[in-house]
Amino acid sequence: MRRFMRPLIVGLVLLILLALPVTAVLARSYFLSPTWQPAAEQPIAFPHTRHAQVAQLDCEYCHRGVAEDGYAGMPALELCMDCHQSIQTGSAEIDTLIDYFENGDPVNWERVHQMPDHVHFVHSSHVNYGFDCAECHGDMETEIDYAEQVRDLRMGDCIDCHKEYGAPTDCSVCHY
Amino acid sequence: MQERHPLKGEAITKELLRPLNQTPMIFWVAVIILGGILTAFAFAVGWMFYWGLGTTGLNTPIFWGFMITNFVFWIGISHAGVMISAILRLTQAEWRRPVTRAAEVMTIFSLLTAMLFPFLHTGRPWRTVYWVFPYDFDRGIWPDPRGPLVWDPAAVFTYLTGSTLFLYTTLIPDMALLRDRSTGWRKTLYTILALGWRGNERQWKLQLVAGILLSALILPVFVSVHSIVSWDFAVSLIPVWHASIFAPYFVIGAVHSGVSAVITLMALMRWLFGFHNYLREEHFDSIGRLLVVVATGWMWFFVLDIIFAMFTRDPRELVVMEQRIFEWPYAMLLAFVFVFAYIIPVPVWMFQRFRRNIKIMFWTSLMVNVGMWAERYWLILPGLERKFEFTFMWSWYRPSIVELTLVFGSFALVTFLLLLFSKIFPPVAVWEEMEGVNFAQDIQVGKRTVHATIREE
Amino acid sequence: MSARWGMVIDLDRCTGCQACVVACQAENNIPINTEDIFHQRRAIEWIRVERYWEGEYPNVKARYIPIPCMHCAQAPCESVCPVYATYQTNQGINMQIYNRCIGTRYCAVNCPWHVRFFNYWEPKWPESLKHQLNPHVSVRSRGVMEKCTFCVQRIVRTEQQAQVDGREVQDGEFTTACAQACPTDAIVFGDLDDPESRVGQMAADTDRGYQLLSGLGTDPAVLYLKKIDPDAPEENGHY
Repeated sequence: MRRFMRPLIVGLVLLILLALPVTAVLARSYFLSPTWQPAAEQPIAFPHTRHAQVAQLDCEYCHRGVAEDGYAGMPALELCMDCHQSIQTGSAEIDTLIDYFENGDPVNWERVHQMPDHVHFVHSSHVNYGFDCAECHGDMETEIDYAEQVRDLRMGDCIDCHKEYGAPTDCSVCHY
Repeated sequence: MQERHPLKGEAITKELLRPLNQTPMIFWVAVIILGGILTAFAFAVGWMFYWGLGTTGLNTPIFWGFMITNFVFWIGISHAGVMISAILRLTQAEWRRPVTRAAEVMTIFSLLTAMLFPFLHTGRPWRTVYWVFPYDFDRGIWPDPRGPLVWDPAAVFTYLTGSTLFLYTTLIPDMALLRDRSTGWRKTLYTILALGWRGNERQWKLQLVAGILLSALILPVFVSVHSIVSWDFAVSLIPVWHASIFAPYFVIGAVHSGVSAVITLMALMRWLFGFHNYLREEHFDSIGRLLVVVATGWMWFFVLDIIFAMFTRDPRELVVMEQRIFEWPYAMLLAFVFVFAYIIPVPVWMFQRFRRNIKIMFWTSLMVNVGMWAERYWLILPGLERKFEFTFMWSWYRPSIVELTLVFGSFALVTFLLLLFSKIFPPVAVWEEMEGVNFAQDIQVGKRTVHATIREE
Repeated sequence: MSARWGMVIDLDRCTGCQACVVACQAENNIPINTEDIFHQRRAIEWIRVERYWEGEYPNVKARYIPIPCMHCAQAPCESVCPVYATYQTNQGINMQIYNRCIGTRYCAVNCPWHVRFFNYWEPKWPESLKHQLNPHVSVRSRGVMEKCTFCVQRIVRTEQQAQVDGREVQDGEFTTACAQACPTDAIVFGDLDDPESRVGQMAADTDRGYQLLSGLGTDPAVLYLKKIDPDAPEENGHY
């Protein structure tokens, strides 16, 4: 029995040594995934579901560039004030909004989906192809109140989806 | 037939293991000096990574410089190991015995150093990992096997793996010997490394078979490694690089510089460890004779390379050839290469009296390697300086202090690793030496009786 | 979608004014080439105007030739990249993917036209110029190669607009920054595969066309039109 113990132990040690870097790479990829990161604290807690359900607003009502441009865009404060001049004026969050508006300060929204500089994602192409916003952003109408990243949206995710729908996987489609 | 003075077994073992136990003052001096150079090396590397490759002398048409030259040089040196140990083992040259270990170790350390340089050369080595260790399972992008830069790591890693296995196979009996003669942490280390070697007949047979098998397997790798390194250049479109002769030319150049480096190493070992009874004059004599042939072969390819360029009568080639041969500073460099790597050493090696003079052998072998480094530079740089007819973009290259430090540091690194190795592992294979002693007989040659080995199998 | 983008450069119209160079720098976020950078011979110019002197003083003539990337169909730079950081798109553009590049610099070594550039330093802009950077083009970091992309960001945007509008890309709907800036209209950009396009017609009609280093067989996508020299002896009725 002892004859086999030593090679067995050596083999096991080697196996663990080989497995370590692989585990490290996989663990890094898993724990650094964007969906694992906590959602950023926004200057104004904007409840998406209430706007979609109670106010019956379309996504495009505020994110106006989404069908024409690469960027979906954030609404101007004037758009918010259109309604909130009269609606819900008593609440603390709306008071903050009014403060911003009256002082002429921009709201420094925290970016939720961090796209690196070298990736050019174009909203219009995807929306015009017929994708629902929820495909990537999750169900903001009924489920997700405060914006957070629900889909991985790293390169592997993009490529998988592009392959699934027969979209080009040329590097220069996104990287230039 | 290899003459030898009769030596007793126990005395051989004691003497060959001496460097492991005794640490002369000169060792510490060497460690401190080399450590200083290595610190500068590490600092230069850090400096370059932090500020970017702007700290080198590279510029727009000259994208490859000292670091690539140094890479080619060290890959060349690494050919010594297989040349000495594998080829001479297969051809059963008796005089290889005291040299094999050192040559093999030098192969591995110079390969490691060489492999460092492409990584340094990219300026952002953490990204180069993509190149050698792709793990891109979900992106579907893998390295491009059409390019020589992918063949390169494949060939070099194969060579490194083969050489390491070969070295280890020849180390096992010595590890067992040391295991039985040491105490403390060394005993633990040697016990693990000896892999339960008991020295019975079956183990010796396996070891012998493994050694011969590995030397035979490394041989094709030996030829392919430097051929592939030469294709880094020959596969490109650059006029003087684009030459079909490059592969054999680089291989023979590698053997020339590698075997010379072995002589340098032998002379140093003889001086540092006092191995006068093992690294004897006749060993230098034999390697010197081998080198005359190798150097002349290299010179033949060197001249052919120039002649072939003229053969094409391609003006682009001729422009660069003219610059290389007639214009400052490359004309000087060419003369330097000729004189250092051929004209001085080879006539010296023609005389047995000089071949048996250790000092002369040391200095000539050192000269060859200085010349061979210059030869690589001479081959690589001019092609880039006058690349095609856009004279507007022609440029020149001056290495920066960072690059110089990197090059000197690489020499210090290999020497330092060799010194460390000699403190832990016997620098001359004890079992091979003993085997040689056992094979030796008293042979009647004319009126003299010579203690020598005759192998007829 | 299946265009083969290409360029025609009429050397007879080129005055060597360098407007194309400046336009390219602005459009493509190219780091500022300071005097120091020029002394280091590390200037990055995706298109450069080479100047050659012809004749002896006092009868000296300056000859100019703008050289962008040739976007070879059989590009020597592509096959030597170990990681596919440079490759041919199906529209004939030789693309450089910055985030894939590891910096071996073999592509630049193997490019006979010297049109690939390496970021030796981290590019820096003065504070006042940071807001002029083109948001549609990645800012490169140090350690990557970069090169002319035929203003691929313009191509992509035009195609996307055409897709949203449900139509084909029109010839002349957009052009590269260098062609747009050229005051003498010496640079014309378009689809070489389309015989109706302006470049297609120019390439078909001319008898002055030639390609740089065409003997290498790389099939460049940039066609030069030879300079018409008024002092040259008459030939085929021209001048």
